[in-house]
Amino acid sequence: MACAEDQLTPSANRPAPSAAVLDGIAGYVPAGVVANAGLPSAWDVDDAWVRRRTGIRERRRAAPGVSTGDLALEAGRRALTVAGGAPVDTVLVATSTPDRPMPAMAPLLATRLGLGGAAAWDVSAACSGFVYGLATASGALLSGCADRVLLVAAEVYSTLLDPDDRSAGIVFGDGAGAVVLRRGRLGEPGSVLAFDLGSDGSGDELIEVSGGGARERATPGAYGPGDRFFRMRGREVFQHAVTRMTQSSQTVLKHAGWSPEDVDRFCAHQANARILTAVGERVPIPGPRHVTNIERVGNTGAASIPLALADAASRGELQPGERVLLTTFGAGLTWGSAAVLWPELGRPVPGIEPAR
Amino acid sequence: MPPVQTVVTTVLTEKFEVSPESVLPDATLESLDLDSLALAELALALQEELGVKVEEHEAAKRTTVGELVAALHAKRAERDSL
Repeated sequence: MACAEDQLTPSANRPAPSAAVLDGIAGYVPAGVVANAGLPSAWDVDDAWVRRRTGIRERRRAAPGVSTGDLALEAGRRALTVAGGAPVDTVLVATSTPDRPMPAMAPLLATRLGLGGAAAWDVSAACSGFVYGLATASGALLSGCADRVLLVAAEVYSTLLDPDDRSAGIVFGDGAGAVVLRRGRLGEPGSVLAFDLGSDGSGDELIEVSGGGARERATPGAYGPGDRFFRMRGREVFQHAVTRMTQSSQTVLKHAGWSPEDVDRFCAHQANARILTAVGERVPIPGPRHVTNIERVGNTGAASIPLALADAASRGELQPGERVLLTTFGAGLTWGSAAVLWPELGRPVPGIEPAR
Repeated sequence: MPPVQTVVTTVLTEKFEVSPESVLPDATLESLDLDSLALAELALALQEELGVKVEEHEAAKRTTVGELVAALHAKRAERDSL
């Protein structure tokens, strides 16, 4: 799917077309740090091995009793503070680790944020959830169905991991990221210029939680307790992730009329540092232009892109008007990319750490 | 197109920092310090360079450089004869 491709060259006589515009951003990670040295001894891994394999030094874990909704609440509250201004009328949540199969996360989040009555629904696209959510928010804004949207991507992946699955256990972490979007003009700082989204359901079993859904309830004998855990076929996923993120990045660059050299900052789903390097080499966008924090937070699923952006913004590393390329890949299989101009924010972006 | 051996040697030395003198026919990929993720990336890089699909068993830990080159050579010959 391609959007906005033919809208990028407004005529001199007409105002620029409408676009979704970023108005606020923030991230939040729980306080609990698990460094590589603190991983279960049964996994038989050391710090150097984990860093070489994944680029991850430590990840965060939510404390017992802390849910995805709790992380989403803090990230959402922070993003709304950064945005200031009018209340939002639409709340979207992107997650693979919802607090319950039903209802969606977004209505309760809206109520907890004092936004009761807002339109509220979840976007389910696994690690691609933030970019898909951005497209959903853009559609709601451009159709006139929303005036101001809060999009929160939050995960407590630690609840979904098999304690015996070392390869997933070393990678995933808990965290949340949120953005506020309003309707504005294409080309202004903060505007989302173009999307590329795609999927391939023939790869549905490469990354999955096979149990816990209607299939298991319809055929309970076919499932065991282990089927409630996250499973990933790493080697195949690596190849699909690199290929799809590279192609999708190149496609969205075409839609936006950018060359790889035009991209000021590149923020890919923080899946694994080696995947990020491989994608960067192929687009190509060299490492110094990458926005990354996987070393300190691991792979936080749908939250990883807004969390990495908020983290960088809190340190003043992103400047208004900079051309930012986002790309992602996740279960489904799903992938997506977006071309964004970094916003002029009214208030500073807080650090992603819990308040002291 | 460059010979398969040249492509394999170039990818191993430039992308995976394997020293050229250790790329010997009898060397297993594991002995060249390629872990499972590196094997996935090696297969992808060879697919991109040679235009043939590299199956998981064709670039495994115990696969030797000689076996890999032979498998890729056969695949490319098969493709080019179509």
